[in-house]
Amino acid sequence: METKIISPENEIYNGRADIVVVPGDEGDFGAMIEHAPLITYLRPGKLEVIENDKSKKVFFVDGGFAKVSDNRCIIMVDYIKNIDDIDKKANNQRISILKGKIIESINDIDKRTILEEIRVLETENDLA
Amino acid sequence: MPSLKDLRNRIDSVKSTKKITQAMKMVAASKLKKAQSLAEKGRSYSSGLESIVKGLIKSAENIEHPLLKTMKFDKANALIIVVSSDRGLCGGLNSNIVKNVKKKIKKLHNESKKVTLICVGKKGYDLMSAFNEDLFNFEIKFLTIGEMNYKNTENLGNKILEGFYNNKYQECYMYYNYFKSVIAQEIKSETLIPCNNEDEILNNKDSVGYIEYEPDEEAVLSKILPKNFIVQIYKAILESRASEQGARMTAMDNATRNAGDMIDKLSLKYNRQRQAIITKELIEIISGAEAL
Repeated sequence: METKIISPENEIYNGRADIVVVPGDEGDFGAMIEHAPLITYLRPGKLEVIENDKSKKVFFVDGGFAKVSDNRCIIMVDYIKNIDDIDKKANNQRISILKGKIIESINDIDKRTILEEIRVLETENDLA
Repeated sequence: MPSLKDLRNRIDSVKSTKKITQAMKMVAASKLKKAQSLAEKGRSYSSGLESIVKGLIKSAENIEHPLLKTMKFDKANALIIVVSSDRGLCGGLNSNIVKNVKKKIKKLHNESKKVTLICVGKKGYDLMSAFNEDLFNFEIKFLTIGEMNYKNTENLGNKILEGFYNNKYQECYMYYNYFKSVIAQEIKSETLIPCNNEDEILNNKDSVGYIEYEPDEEAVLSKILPKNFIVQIYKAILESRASEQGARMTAMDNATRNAGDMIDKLSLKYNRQRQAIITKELIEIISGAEAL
């Protein structure tokens, strides 16, 4: 099926895939040809694109939306990373820096964004 | 009549202006390429999200959400986001947008609504604050568009949304330049909140058949509405940036051509005057020789 993975700043994938394994909010599902029309939001997790020649691309996504209809699968994400690019060491360093920043921040919104970033990095580490 | 020296000075200054405008045109052209590709990439994301939202609003008419309120307020507070450029010298891009915003403000005031402005882009802020500084009563007055990336936009969007959840504002409009082509930019005004304004639903007759929502419509809607709000702002920023470069390129191209014309005219004048001086001197010599 025609598959597109897009973020606001980039088009990450555009091609034909046999199966797309999507981390839906209520569990992973495989989107294949003739899949029923579905719109869901994603939980943080692994997104797998299996192409016709059985090569596999694995991404880490932190939420987003997926739309499956008319044999097309569109995945819209804000944050996506190729699973091979995840650097646990760098992530851990960044987490410890961010934890220091939380104590300094006064603003509620700032605090929330920092906590959000820590959460993303930690899930990234769990999946890698 | 200006002296030869004056003319020469003028020609030199026009020449250096031409050099500047030519350089600016080249810079704009190279920046345009990048901005254009970003804007085009952003379009597929924002339009994808928008189509989901529209379908969802239609199929879930009874859902209540702060961003969807349909009840009428006597005294609604409106927020206008003005997306302009940071710098001038790009034709009528910024002044046109400001003109439209002023019209909208007048209209809202006539409906006795309070207006708050937020500018993305310094030039828009300069022009609007000269018009009425009091309208900038949000915690953020303006952000420079050059520094906006998705993360910053998300922060800005979340701050604005907070105001809507606290019922400080009820309506949100956005003005920006849509990048049609290098020579054509179109001012667009969008109603971001409430998202279910009537004509949008009426226009959306082509909605697809049955779609399953997981976990359910309400949950997806409450997640997608704030996201859509932010993405629409981001789209406007990308479009505006591309428009700015396009407009600057056209404006600078015109300026370069004008400067060229001016140099031609001035050189002609300069040569004529020089010839006139030579002729005058010759006449003086000849008439002097004849007198002898």
